[in-house]
Amino acid sequence: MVLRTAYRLIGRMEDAQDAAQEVFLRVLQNLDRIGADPRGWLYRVTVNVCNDYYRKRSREVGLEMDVVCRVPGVEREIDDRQRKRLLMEGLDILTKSERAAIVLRDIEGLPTREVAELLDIEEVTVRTQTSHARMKLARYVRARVERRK
Amino acid sequence: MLADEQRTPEVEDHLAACAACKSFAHELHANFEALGEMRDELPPIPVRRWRAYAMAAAAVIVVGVGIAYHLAQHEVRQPVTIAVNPPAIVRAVEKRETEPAMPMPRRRRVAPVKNTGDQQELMVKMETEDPEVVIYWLVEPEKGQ
Repeated sequence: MVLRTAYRLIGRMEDAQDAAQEVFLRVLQNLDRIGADPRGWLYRVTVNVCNDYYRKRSREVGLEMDVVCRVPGVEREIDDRQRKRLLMEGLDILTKSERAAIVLRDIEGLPTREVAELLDIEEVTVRTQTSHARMKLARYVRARVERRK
Repeated sequence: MLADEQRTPEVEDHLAACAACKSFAHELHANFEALGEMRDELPPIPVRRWRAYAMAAAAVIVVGVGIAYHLAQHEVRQPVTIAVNPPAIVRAVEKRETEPAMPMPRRRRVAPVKNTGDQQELMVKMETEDPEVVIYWLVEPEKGQ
């Protein structure tokens, strides 16, 4: 769970493995501080550690925003495998907070309330960030498919 | 849909009228499902790791083949079984009740010294472990010792 989440938050397996090691190191150092919800605690530490890695790397690729209604949909034009690959690529264009929100909310499947607690932000902020992330990802996938044509 | 909200009738009406938005909504839904399916998928292991694992596996195979070859070179000798007739009578060795006595040291036979008349006094110097202590043994020829 830790490695998987770290990989989706950082996007590079080498960094994700280092982050996972760091997470478990922190777990060992703070065994007495893990409360009744070790899963949430692990998520929180993972997000914090990945934020540190994210700061180091800090590469955000801008993508031109298209008008939503301009380009026809591509939902039938790519298969699931391609879509997942593009979505993973697309995570790199998100901001750190958007990425954390969508990874925890849509990939890990945590409820909005729990994501808000983990990221220490308001629920409405989680919704906003998730919404932005979904929009950006959809545009990214669409742009990549259009570019291949 | 974008922010986990239920579709309102206005949204449904718009989607029914606008093909592009309907298509985009389908796309959002497909992305959402794909992201959810990624939940239990293991992230890909980098190629470098696979190379390392392959090299480790190859090393294990080479070592294994080497050990097998080494064992094949040295044939294992099976112990030879020889039929031995049991002795007719087996005497029980009696256990001694007492410890055997220490054997007495043999006495050396010393040849008698002949009295030749012109014999001189013999002095034997005996050194001990202590360098301060030296024993002198004077042998008088008249007495023969």
